[in-house]
Amino acid sequence: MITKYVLPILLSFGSHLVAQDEPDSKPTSQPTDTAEDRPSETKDDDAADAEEDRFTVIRGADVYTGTGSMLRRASILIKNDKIEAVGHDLDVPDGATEIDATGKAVSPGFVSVGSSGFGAPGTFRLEEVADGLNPWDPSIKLGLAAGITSFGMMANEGRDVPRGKSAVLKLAPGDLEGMLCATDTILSMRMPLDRQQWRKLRELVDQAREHLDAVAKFEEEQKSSAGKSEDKKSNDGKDSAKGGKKKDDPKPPKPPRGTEEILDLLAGKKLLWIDLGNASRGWFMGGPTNSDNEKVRQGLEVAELLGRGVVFNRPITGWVYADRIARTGSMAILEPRSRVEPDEGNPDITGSNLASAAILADAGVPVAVMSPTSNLTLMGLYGQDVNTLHVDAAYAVRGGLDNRKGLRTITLDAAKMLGVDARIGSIEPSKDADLLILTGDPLHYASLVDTAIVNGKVVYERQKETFYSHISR
Amino acid sequence: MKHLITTTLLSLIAAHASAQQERPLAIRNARILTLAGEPIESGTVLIQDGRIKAVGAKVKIPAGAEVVDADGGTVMPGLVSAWSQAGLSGTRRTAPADQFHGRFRVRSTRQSSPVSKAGSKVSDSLYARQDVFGELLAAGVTTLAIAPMGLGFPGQAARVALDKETADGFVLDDDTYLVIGCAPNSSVKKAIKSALDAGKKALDDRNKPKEEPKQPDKSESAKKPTDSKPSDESGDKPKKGDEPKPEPKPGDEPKPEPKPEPKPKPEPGEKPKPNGKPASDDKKPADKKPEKKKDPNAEAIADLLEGKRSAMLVVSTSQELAHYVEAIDDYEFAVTLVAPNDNAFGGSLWLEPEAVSEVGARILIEPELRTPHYTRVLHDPGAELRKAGIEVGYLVGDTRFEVRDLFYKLMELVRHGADADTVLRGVTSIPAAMLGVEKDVGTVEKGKRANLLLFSGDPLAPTSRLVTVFYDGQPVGKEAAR
Amino acid sequence: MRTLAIIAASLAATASAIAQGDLSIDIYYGDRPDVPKIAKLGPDKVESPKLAFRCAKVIPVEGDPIDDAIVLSQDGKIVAIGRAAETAIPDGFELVDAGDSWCLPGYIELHCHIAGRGFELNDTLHQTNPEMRTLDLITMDHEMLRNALAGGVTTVMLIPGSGSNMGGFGTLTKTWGRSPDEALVRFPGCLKIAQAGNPERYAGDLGMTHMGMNHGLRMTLERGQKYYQAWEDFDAGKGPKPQFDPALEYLRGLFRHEYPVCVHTQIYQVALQTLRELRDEFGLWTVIVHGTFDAYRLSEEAWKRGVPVSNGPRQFQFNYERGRFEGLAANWYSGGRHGFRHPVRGLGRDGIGINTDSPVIPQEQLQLQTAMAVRLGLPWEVGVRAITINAARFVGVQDRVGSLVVGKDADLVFWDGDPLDPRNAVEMTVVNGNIAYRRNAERPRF
Repeated sequence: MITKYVLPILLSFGSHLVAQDEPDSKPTSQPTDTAEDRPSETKDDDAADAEEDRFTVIRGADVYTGTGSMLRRASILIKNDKIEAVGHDLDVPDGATEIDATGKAVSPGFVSVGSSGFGAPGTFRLEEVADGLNPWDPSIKLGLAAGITSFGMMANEGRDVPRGKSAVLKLAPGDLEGMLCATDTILSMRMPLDRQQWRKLRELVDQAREHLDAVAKFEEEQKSSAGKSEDKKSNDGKDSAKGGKKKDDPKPPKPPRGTEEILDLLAGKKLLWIDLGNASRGWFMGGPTNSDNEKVRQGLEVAELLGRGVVFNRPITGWVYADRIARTGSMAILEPRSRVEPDEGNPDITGSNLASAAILADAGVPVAVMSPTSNLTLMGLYGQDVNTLHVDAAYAVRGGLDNRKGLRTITLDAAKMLGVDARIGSIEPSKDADLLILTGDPLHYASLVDTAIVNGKVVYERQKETFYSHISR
Repeated sequence: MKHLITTTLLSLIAAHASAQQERPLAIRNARILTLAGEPIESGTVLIQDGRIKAVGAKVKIPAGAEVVDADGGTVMPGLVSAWSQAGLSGTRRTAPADQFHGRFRVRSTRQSSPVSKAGSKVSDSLYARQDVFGELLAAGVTTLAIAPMGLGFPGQAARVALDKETADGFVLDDDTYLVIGCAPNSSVKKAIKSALDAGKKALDDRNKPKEEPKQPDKSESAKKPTDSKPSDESGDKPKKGDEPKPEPKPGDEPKPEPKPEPKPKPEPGEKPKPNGKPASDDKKPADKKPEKKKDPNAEAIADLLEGKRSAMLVVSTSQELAHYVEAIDDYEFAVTLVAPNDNAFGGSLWLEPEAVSEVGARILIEPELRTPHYTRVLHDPGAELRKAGIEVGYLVGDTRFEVRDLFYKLMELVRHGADADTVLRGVTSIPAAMLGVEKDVGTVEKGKRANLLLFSGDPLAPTSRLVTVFYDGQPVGKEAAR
Repeated sequence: MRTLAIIAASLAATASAIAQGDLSIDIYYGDRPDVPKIAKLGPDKVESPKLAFRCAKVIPVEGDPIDDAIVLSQDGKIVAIGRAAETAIPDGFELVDAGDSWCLPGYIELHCHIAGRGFELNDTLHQTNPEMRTLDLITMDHEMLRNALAGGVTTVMLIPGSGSNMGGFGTLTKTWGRSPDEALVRFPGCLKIAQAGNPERYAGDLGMTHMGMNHGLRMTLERGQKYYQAWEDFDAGKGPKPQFDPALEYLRGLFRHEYPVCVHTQIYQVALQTLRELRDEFGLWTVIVHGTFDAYRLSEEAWKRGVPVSNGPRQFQFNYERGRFEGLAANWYSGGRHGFRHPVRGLGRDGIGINTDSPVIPQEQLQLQTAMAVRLGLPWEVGVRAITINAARFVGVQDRVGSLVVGKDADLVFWDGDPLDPRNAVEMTVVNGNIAYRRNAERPRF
């Protein structure tokens, strides 16, 4: 059941990472690639159950697509759980469910890069995430009211080597299958490393590379020896042990112990989050206090060592290294409003900067934002947790990001951090129909979610639920 | 010597008892809630030999009958507790399921490892003389099925007699239904699936042409230990294997014991239970020899898959139900649901009646009004479920306190708009049907066991008092409460 | 665009309402003297250059918004304000072009603890500590004050923490000044009383339930009241000269109604105690700060007594019975049924303030606090008033701050746009006519 969902993700994910190598030119075109990948699939669906297709059309809203510019008074056609078309003159099949959103705004559902709750099993049971989901968790509706339609979660994070279990879940009330978006798209490790840990990491990466070389060689040999008689260069003993049968099942070299994660990273199958120890310090009395230049630099070295971009989780001084972060194809998750004063005694440029998101984005780095508190609490202070994720995007805008990119920090770019941007995060044909109909501009502080749609289904309606129906807007 | 005395004594009692038996008992001047039709405003129930001989407005009371004047009180069938942990060690519930009434709260999921011992019987861990049985009887429970607790397949429930001092006649039925427990985690789901797979395999073996019984024997017995991993538990239950245990029922009467006579068990007559028994009956005597060692756990599940055995599924939330549905994959078999811990955090089942009806047509719930999360609006869960065509029975309670509360709770349901007859059927005829004993108990009808409750007024009126409990026609005195 | 229209319309409505002297709450100031005897006021004049600020829009809070406007300041005060086309810039005034920005009065924070570091504001010598004051802690070189400027906050009430029932006396000060004396608005700004929700932690055996705590407060206040009365009698020639008692001296000013008591109070029951004990029993000029949880149900009781409410930092209460987010400021403002049979009156447009309790919420996020109150139902126009003129009125300094009117302090904040939208930053902050902060676009403080 898990594989059913994960496989397509991983496949599309690989292509995304390739696109990532040239951050300047590609990012926006990447979803279109995916769209091209898929039509055949979609057609199969058509053939299979043309009868049961369920169409929904949302009309008259200002559509914030999350990629291009906002489309005024446009329509969105949803087919089953996917977005079929976006634009002004759509061919809407008869019998489609009409949703009139005139005067409202439509945005991709918000993505929290790291939360718990919302029907997720406790982190200690993440290994069996699919079997522990609770799509009836009442907090799911709260999350939807806040505009969150997906979130990532992690467990067993790595320390000195990449490790960890992860899942991306959707807030799909009552829908066990619909909740699971992806698993194991992320690994993590913590900075800084000491010398010994560095040596260990380098060794692992070397071993992994040697292994890849061996595999490549092996495959070449297989290809060249195809049709020919046996090749005596076969290096493992098993072949010779089996004597005559060798040709049928020569075994590819086995990956050395402990390199599995590295191999996944090298192959672009998973993303590596660099934990800088700043996450979720909370709002009370000021969040993180120290600059993290050294840790960020080490994270960059990891990226360079792997030849793959990494994800910096809440860097404070990431903005200082914006170009290098961009060069490695890395990304960053920020908490824009958390303040760290510059450390006068440090020769580095230190301290946080409200303009971090803008500086990094200008350098070509995808940026996601998070709230000071990563969960949704009913006991806390309004405006400090993911109940108002859009406020944190707003602070990124205050720091210089434009509104369009600001929205991406909690939609498409947040999905990128989780490796699921081929599926969610923007309003484009073939993507999952996870949308919000809002009372206004998605980043405006007073905008409320009127309707949330997940997997093409209306899962939250403000007027029918209790949370915000008493507030006129 | 001692033995002799005991025997004599018992036979004396027996003689006395049987003498009494012949004398009919009439409860007259009663309002009778038959629960099988319209109430009889003023009528008579005539009882003989532990069974209802007649019931109606104009029943003639035979001469010599013992007459109980109900004085305008109400007679209704005794309560049927179809899923109970009375008499088992440990408790069923920790705290009232949702004491916050709709507030958001994180529930600690029932965490325990799954078991796969569908062949085991809870009757093996029961003994007759426990105060709780007498207390329940005095409180009005006249049919009691005790179910083992646990996740996966914890075993088979038993129906027991409530008035027994010794093991004799105590267990009326030791394989009433299979219990299935599901929780949202991988190990439980895997255990359920693999137990079902093992059951399927056993079923396939059964359906194989049985020409050469010897050869498959070996291969099977060789296979069993390996492929039925879940049955580890049964390892310490080899007693299960020695067939005598399950058998006694059919061969009950001929037993050389002198005791069973006094009260001709009401039981023997009926055998409506959809059990595997009949099938195995004709086989066993024939084969006799311990032949291949079948895995009793897998066999029990094979029965379930074949429709010969019923099951109760303990899931309290939509979350648990959804994971159960996923766990059983494509297997199809009917279950009765039991939801002892309605819980808004995992999704109340009564808010998803369609999902419930896809799994089973009957459900046992707590007789309580509930609030959906985040509101204070009271709902009647039973009413919501009935709307979807589901038969709703109520959990009666495991202690006399709970059973006493039951009538207040039912009263509240009625106040909220439920039909009184419907809620009373929920504690009598509906759970009786769940146990497959609906022909024997659950209503006040001719031919049924005379398990009756006599109230001073309407059972759901706060001023009414439970005057007398008749168990198999015998008034249960205070001493029965022990 | 629509937002702008709404803002303009509501501002115009406000202006006409003010003109009619129609305030939604009659704040109770007691028999407040014109000239204080105990309290020390800040300087009348503050040295400042002659500046002419020009910007796209001025929202004076009191008065209609002015597009393409000019504000002239001199000696720390506003000397003129008007449309650029109609306002000549006199000789000697330097033009400061604030471009497309919106100019608003500096925000006022009525509940903060940023004078100190950590918990040094929570000294608990006794259960009640009328002898303590924050005045001596003030330094203008404070990181959090700089953040305040970056967040558009120009006046703050620095109060002791809520570790004891009576934490001491707070200081009302500007967030910028060449010296604390120059920045001072008034000392004491208020007396800080905490009635529940913190002092319990420190109270020990002196009474840690509401009964005990209220008793402790009453004892101290009665001492203060006697002391005050003795001095009043003496001043009226009706009694001997009392002995000076530094521990009670500021309570004397409190009973003279020279300054209010700001009460850390929350929860219906506790806020009711506040109203009954402090306002009814002792007749004190009372301001409720915090006012969180379900205290809003007292909106009518507070309104009747002329007790205004500064709400925060908690801006919502999840109502489990109705399953909804109650906007606390909105509920105080509008009143409503709130579980009562009959609806109760709200405090109205002039009775609600908003605070951060910084550093619980960083001082620069006062704007966000207000934005969140608006998100949860408070009208935008009331939100802006809550942190400007309303707050100034609550503590009796509306003649100096809280709106852009000729003669008031030149505390000007230039915003990128809607001053409640977190996306909009402060480009420049002017305190007492001095440019105290300019945003560095390269490395914005906030």
